[in-house]
Amino acid sequence: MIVITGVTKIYGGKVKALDNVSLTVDEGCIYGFLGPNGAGKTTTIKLIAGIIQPDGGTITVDGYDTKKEALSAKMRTGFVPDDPNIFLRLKGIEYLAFMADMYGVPSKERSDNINIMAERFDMQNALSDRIQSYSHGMRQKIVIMGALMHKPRVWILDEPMTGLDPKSAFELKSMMREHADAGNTVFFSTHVLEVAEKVCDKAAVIGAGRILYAGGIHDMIKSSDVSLEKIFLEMTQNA
Amino acid sequence: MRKIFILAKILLKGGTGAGGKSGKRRWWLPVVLAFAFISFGFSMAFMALGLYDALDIIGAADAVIPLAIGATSVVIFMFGIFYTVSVMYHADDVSLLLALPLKPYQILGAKFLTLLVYEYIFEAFILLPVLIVYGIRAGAGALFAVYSVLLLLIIPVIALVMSAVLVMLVMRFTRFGKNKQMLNYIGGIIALVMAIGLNIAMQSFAVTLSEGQIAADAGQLSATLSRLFPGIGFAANALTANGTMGGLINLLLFALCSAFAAAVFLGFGQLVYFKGLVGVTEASAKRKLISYDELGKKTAGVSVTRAYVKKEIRLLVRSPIAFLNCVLMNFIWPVLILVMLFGSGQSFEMIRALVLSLNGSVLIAAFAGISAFVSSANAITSTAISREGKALYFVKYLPVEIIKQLNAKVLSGMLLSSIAVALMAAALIFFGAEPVLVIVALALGAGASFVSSVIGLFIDAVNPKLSWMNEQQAIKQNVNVMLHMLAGLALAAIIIVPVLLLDFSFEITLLYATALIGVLAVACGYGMIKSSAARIYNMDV
Repeated sequence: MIVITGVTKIYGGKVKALDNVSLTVDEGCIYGFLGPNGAGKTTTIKLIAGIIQPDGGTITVDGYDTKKEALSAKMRTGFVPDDPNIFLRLKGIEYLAFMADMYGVPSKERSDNINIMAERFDMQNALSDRIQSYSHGMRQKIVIMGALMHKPRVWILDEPMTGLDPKSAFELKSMMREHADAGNTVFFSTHVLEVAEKVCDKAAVIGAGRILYAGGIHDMIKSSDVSLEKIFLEMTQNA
Repeated sequence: MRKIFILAKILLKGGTGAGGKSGKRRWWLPVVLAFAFISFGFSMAFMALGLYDALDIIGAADAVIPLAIGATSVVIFMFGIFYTVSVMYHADDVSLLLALPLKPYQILGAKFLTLLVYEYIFEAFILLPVLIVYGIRAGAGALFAVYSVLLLLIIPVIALVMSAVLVMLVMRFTRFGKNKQMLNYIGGIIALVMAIGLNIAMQSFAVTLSEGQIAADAGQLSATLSRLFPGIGFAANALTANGTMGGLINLLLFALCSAFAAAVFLGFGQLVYFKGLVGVTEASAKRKLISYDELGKKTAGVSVTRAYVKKEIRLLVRSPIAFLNCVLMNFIWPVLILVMLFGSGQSFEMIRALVLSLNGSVLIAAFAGISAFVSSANAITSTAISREGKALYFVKYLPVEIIKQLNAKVLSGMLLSSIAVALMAAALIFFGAEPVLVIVALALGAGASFVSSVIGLFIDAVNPKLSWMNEQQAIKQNVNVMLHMLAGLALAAIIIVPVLLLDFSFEITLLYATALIGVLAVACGYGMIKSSAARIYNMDV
């Protein structure tokens, strides 16, 4: 579970990226995070992952304060950034071993974890090559595998579907569903409203650093006769 | 031509070394750089003054000019090799530029102009102070000043063209296998070996001079110099005969030679540059299945620090730019010191006698000081944060304290620096130094290397250059590297100078060096790493 309470983030003392944001991401559901470019999606995600610090308010991940109990919160989190171009000169297998070492994954579990994920993402033949030789989608997959190596309870994914082929996108969506159904938390940002509509149980819409809507995604559509796209555009235009 | 200048302007803007957050001005940077420039310039000027006066006695004062131009050309040639490999071949912007409607000579011309600007910095350090001293001492007039300014602008062209053509040749004709990355390394190393070879040639040339030719006139010296760098002799003649028609003719001839060299470079580049570039950005892939057992072996758990150090070293070794500038440097320094010793005409027996004649206190202090400097000259810790670039956020989301990660970065720097330190120790033993003394020196050297590495990390953490298009900008065009080298020099001076000046006994030297390095190690190891971690924690990346 992720609880964001009254969080404000100001960049360089001037630009208010988030303005008193409060949001609760429940367990057992896939929670989508929607918003136009520059609305504050990545800032919110970076705050939850402990990459940047809020200027006001608190965030807890599974009950751990991301500021005061940062390491415990991080151990429970699997974070997938929006840019998969990291450590390009490491081999896929070296990257996964590194992530496993950082998260203290027992040696015995590593091979099984990697095998299962590599099979689902069709990456078995690529692990011995350098990430530099991977396509964008393959880089995305290796980053996702690294983030999930330690079997975290809370998944935070920033635009995870970008660049994935249909099979891998389907696998990731299935994995997200399985993870949420097992009582865990899945929070992901996306630009693609069709994905949000099909995958998410709940969603929040952010615009100009403020939460414009938070709740069931199907409730949002049912309450109006128009499409999700139209609702989204109306909401964010007025923000 | 216009496109060349526009592109050069953009390339220069991309790599000014001013990194970090936008709008944040580093007021102290110009002060530090000015201090470094003035102090180095003064020491060069004093050297030139001594040389001028010595040569003046035998009536060969004019020889100062060709000597200074020769030394500058050698430095430009050597650094030119590193720069051209990095800027012309390994820079990531190359693939971007290839997609633009530009001809090879336009890309090359722009890159050459940016390299020229960097070489002017070396010139300002080495040649400018000498010219000023000569001008004052010889009572040269305004024409000398005008000629000097013009020549300062033109002199780097020939040496730079020579290094660039050499690099282009190596890059064009050494790529035939599948693993192009490996060939890039080999190309870089071959170029480096050639640079050292030239250094040896210059050293023996200098020896010949000291034995006979130095008393000969400056014209003779210029002719010899011209054999090494064609046309350079004209520059020297233009300056020494600046008041005559001969001087003017020499100036014009030199300008012609340089223009010809630039034309050769562009013409040659038009033919071979693109062909040499093919494959530089390629990474080979085998797509081989890893067996279950192999998987278990390759992912066997190790401690966080070990895993982190392994990752750092792998990234340093596998990036051609980092490898040439950070890793290879640790092998180069000891070799260069040996080349300087042997090249200056010393035989093995003479060096052995020199090593044996050094008293213990000088030996351990010099060893510790040089270790501190060598650890600052490999650009490892001074770019440790900058190299992360936009992926610095990764450091912050890992469930490992930032302090622990920074310690691992320092440790990687120390491990690679220890190659240079160990090679120096081996050389000392080889030349007959007492093993016990070498062990003491090694212990102090390790401490000094630690202090120096932490200082580098701190310098980089204060203002990391995170916004870069290619690693070359993070490593080669990063002012933190130079600041770290200056700090390394200062640290070496603090360790060595008091021992020499106050003629410390061995016991006092040991006490002084241990106390100094110990206090600095505690202060830096605790304070600087903690402060660096706090800075990174508070950065909005």
